[in-house]
Amino acid sequence: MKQRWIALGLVIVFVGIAACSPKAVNNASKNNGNGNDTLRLAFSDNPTGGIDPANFYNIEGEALILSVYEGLLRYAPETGELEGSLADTWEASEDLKTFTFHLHEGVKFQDGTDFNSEAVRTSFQREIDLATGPSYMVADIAKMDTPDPLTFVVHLKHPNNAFLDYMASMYGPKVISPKAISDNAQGKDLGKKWLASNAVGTGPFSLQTYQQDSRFVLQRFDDYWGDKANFKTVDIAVIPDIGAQQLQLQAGDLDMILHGISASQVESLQGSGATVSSFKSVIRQIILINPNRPPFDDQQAREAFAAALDIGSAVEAVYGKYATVAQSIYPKFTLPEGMAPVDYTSDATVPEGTPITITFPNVEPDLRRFAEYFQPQIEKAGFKVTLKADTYAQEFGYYKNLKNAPNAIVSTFNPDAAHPDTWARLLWNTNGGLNLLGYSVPASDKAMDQAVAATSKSTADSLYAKAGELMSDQRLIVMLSDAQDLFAVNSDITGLEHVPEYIWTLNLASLRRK
Amino acid sequence: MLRFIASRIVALVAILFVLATITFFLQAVIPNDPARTMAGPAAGPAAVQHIREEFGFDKPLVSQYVGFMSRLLHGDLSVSVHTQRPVTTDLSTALPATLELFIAAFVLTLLLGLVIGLLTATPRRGSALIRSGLILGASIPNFCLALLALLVLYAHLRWFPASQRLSSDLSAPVGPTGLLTIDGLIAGRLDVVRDALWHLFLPALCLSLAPALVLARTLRSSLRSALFQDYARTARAKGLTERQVLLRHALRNALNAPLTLTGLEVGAMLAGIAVVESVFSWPGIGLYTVRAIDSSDFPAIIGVTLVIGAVYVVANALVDLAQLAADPRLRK
Repeated sequence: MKQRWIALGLVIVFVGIAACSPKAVNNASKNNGNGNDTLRLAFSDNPTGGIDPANFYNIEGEALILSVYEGLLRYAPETGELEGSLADTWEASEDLKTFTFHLHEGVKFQDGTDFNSEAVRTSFQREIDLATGPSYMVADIAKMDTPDPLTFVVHLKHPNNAFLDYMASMYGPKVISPKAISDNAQGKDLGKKWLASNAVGTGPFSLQTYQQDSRFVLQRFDDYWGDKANFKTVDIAVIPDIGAQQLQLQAGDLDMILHGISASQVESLQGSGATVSSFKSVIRQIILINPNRPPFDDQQAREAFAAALDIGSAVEAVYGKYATVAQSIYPKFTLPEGMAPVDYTSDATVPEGTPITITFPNVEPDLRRFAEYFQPQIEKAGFKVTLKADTYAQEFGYYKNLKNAPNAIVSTFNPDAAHPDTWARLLWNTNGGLNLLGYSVPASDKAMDQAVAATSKSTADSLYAKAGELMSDQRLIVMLSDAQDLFAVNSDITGLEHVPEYIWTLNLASLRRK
Repeated sequence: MLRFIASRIVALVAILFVLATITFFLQAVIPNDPARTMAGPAAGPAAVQHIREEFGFDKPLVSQYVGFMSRLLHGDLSVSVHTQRPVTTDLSTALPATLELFIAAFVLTLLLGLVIGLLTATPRRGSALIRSGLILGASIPNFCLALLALLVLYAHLRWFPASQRLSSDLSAPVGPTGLLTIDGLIAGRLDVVRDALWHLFLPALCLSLAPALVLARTLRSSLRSALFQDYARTARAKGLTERQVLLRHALRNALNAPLTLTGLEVGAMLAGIAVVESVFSWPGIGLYTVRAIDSSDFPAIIGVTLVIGAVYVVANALVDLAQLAADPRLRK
């Protein structure tokens, strides 16, 4: 009898803990009844290395950085066209070595100090000195002039028709308060340690809280020079599990999910009351082929592999209407449509049972589906396929031992900007940052170098197309699809603005609750 | 006793040395480029080389090992490739969160294990069903249990929150321990203590249920065996009630096996922490470890390995001490 009382007591304790929660049971946290007070988002990870815009070169975290900081230029929503940001207007010299920016007047940093050309010069010089990931965009600067507080002039060592796109890139140089840099520098670190978890920019939001692995909180910057944000606060929780994010969106504890939604999940999300919005983007799915080991050291084998892929049906199966088959070697918004078309037809064959290993990133279920979908097609062409999951970190290490690297890697990348150079040079230039499998096509490299220095856009585009075709003729990279950027949004949120080149993020300032 | 403690300390140092060495040299086996991870996936060769030189990744692995062990002796675990902060800083932020979760789960394990073990020690109607339930409960994997808990207790019943340690409208008190419940008590913030316990309950329950049920089954078997011993029969003959025989005589004699198992279950709980923290977005070393493995962040992996290794050795040492306290025969 007493044991029953003990058991009953335990049940009462457990229920009591639930009932005595600070929020009442069945707390209607939907909207929290707070109107446009707080927008609730989630990141699946911390921004790698922190939020110093001169050091940040990943994707998760861009929504925060682009809300707090601004560059001289930006891309327009939907169209992806260049438009002014901190610079109202700009001119480029005919030789594409001198760029003059006329800055917006009356801009304040979030610490109250004034924005001017000297502040721009300080930020640019800092980025050159730190020499980290995205610094290639400013590495070729020979000299900077500030003839007056609202004019900033850059002189490059070599002509570069991508420079304006660098300024608009999500990784492009952002302007940081010089006072914040000087007040918080530790030794010669140029404020790098402090700015990893603090921020002082000119954007529509200021950073209030940065708690690694927990949450980041932004506050509306009421002295912002542009259109004020609608939400007063943006609360970004770190929720690694996409399933947990979806549950919280459905329960009303989140207002949106910025990425990680598969096409197959769209219906169930929409059925739960959320809205799934899709936007064109520069996200591209590809297969990298390893020419450093058999069988793909033989071009015939590479051609047979590429020809075996029924890309159209695979894209339909994996993405449905949320991606299109890649028609060009270059992602959307980089080259004019119709240029550098892909063509993988070939009569090449391989001996039956030729073994190959194909890997895909363990965190990308859609890429795993691609690999699984292609497997029988490739085996029908005579290959014996082994599929393996790896991590992005491992992919970046394969170059150390290319003869033991996988035969092919299914992956997803995006150009740094709406310029073909930020695709071609990264992906298959001999010194490219994303050249994971040691490609070297000297003729293509030469075409790229000529292209970036071309003063005529049509000449540049033709040269980039040629660079792409020279690579594609060797079947080093198979272009699969152009995926859309998917966002799951609480149905009472409106004002969605998306820039194709700024993936995994929306303009947080334009969002509002109905 | 002194000899016991000294031997455990020597074992701890030796184990940590071996763990650090093995984990460090795993870098040579796994394809990875820490400089690339720090610079960013698309960083050019110049930027990557700059970082390689700054952090010494361009030196031979043996040379890096010597430097690493030298820094380790001074308490420096190097810089995390992923967060780019000192690993000691990351661990000092993450460890209190895991400690709080672990302590809560451990207490729940002992409570649940003890209560269920006692309740099922004597035959009653439905014993077979209860036994089956215990086996089933102990068989459910952590991730399954965590997702089930989220679905039922959060999404449907809204009884508990889904993630984090504290609600967004509360600020964590700055305290000496980093454990929100303790720091909240010290600061007199009962609202924080209540909210922290509310957030703690679900992940702690998911972490504790399987080990609690295993503990309960073991305790039940031990108790049933003890209840048939001569001393138990004598106690009954003297007029003690079955409850008194169970609690005063059988329980103490039956604790040996469950206590030993508790030490092993600590290891199982530590293994489950990574999954539970990931599902509940609990900012502890489990989540930190998952990220470190995903990004081949070897400084962080080594740091976590050392912490978990130390915890495991210390926990088992405490279990040994508890056994000595419970069973005087072992002191000889």
